Amino acid sequence: MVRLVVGREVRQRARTRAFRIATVVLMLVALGGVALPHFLGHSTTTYRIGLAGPAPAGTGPALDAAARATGAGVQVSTLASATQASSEVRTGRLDAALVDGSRIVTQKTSSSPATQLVDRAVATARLADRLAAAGAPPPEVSSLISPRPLPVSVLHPPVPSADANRRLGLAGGVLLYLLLLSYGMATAYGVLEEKTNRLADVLLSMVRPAQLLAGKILGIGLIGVVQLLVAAVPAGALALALGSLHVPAGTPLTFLAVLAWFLLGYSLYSCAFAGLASLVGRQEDLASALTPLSFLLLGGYGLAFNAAFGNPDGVLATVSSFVPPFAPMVMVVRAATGHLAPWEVPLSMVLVALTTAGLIMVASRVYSGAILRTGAKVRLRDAYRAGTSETRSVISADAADEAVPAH
Amino acid sequence: MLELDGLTRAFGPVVALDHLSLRVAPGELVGLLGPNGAGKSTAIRMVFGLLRPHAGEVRWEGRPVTQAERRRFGYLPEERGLYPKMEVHEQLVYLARLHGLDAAAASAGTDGWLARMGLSDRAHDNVEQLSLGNQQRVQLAAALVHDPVLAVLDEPFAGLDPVAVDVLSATLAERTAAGAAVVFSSHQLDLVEDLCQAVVVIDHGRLVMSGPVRQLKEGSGRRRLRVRVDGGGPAWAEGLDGVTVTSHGDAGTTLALSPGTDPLAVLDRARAAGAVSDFGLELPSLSELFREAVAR
Repeated sequence: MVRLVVGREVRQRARTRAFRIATVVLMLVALGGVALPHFLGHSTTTYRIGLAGPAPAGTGPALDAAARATGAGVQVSTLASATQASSEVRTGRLDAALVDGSRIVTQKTSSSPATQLVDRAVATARLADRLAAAGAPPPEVSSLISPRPLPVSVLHPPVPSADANRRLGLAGGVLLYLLLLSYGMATAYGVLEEKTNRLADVLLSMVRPAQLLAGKILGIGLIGVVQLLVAAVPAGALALALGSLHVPAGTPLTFLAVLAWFLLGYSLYSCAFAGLASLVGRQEDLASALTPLSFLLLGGYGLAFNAAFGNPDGVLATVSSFVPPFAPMVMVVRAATGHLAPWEVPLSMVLVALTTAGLIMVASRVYSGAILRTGAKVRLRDAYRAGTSETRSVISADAADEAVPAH
Repeated sequence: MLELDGLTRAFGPVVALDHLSLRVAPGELVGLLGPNGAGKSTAIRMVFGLLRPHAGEVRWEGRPVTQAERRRFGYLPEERGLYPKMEVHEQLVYLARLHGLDAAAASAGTDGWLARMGLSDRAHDNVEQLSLGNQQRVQLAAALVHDPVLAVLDEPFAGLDPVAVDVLSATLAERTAAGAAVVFSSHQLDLVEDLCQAVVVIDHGRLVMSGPVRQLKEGSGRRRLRVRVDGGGPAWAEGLDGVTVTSHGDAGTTLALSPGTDPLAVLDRARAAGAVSDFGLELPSLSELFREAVAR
């Protein structure tokens, strides 16, 4: 039974225009996040070098090789005169110019990466010239000019800067806020749709309230996970294909954290959204009924900013990362930026899960007490009193219903 | 066999059901009648577990109804409800599957019902694109798509055009002939009279009349007498013991005879008043019995 309800939710929602647009937007944002720094990053490390007058043979290839050795690129242009070299450098069109193979013109400091590059290239070219004159075979000479880079063992890979971690964590927190809010609202609208269109009577003549509620929450949650994966996988593939150095190393882990916290946070919030929505009689009253939840989410959003820009291990950030309604958004930030003890994330997750378990019972009871009472808004206490305090789990109820052959 | 046994329910100070008991046997088509607010929908919702009685019980085959059994029932609620933005065919298949049909049977059943309701060409429209009358047909198909063992329909004929009324009448008769128990509420008493073997009348949450229609009519002892006396008004009939003039027109005078009144004595009085060109004795209509039952 629950499976059928889940199936309907997934099929119906995957087909809506809003879902498709949101998925494409998320996917493009993720792709952009990977691609833009990658391509923009490379253009800043290309040196523009000018050559005026005669330069030693092989200076061009030597410049190329020297630049490549430092992980940069070089763009060499030939100039008509020393005057032109000066003016090009002065206007900033060139980083440095070599005049007559004997003099370097540059803008400010006498020793910049660009001048060092030219210096090294000229020395190499001269050396190659002498070697050739001394009778060294040409392949050997050219391998001297552009040597194959030696393999490098990195003992202490650089840690991504604190700034990158902060941005990453905050992006995760903000994404969680948006996901929890939009999927919580989707659950609320789904519940109200069935109530205001009087579908509840038809459905609940066949399905238990807890089964209908569970099917709706699971279905919408599933589509949320699918949306996250669909949006993230192309970006991940692109990052791998580009071998991008500009994606912070913590990104995959933060993505997994967002996914895990979405599951936990959505379970918590969707129960609350569904329970409150079932009390409402008209669509117009939904927003005001959900105000407390909007505020809780907004609080989590603010606390995520506090953790990212304040001290992620300060009192406020630490405490709020264990308060279940805020934990998903704050803990994602703290995990990316702070220095967590190994027990912190598991403990926070357990607290959220326990709260969810309690809330499921309350929400399911409120829902069953309110969903069939159309008309005026039902008071929370009345709905709770009227609701079935069925303690059997949905799964076992489902199994019991399936066990009796339908025909 | 569906049994409602002593169902009682109050909403605050209002007693909606007051020890209501009734039975519907397999193969029986029963009309559930009662004025507005009599408690019909309340009783129907209790059959489907949507409302708990404060006292009494609903039984199917002698046992309290379980959720699994309810899935084999068909229910048309008073307030119609379908997903507005879901395709007709998909929606019916979904509801049929909730009723326990497998995917193939649900799809085949849906095709058959859409054809029967004349909606095959609308199968892939969203429900909200259909007229209200057509939405009502979809709702009926949803209640019957799984060939229920018991169908309980709250005002199934409301809002249907004459063609759809015929289709639904034939369908209900067919389901009954196949052994299903069918109960429906209606205010269209002529229709109920034509269609149902038995009726149940409730008022103020209590059973006020029930039984086979023919038996109720004969058992009432009331007769309806139609007399046409050429060139005369209804004055001749006034003052007769056990006779009430219910109407007078070109077709003659219609009289209600109370039990024990001899129609031939009335005829004698008519002949004394003038030439009698038409004379007919009829059983009371269901609506007369209904009015009498709920007036008490």
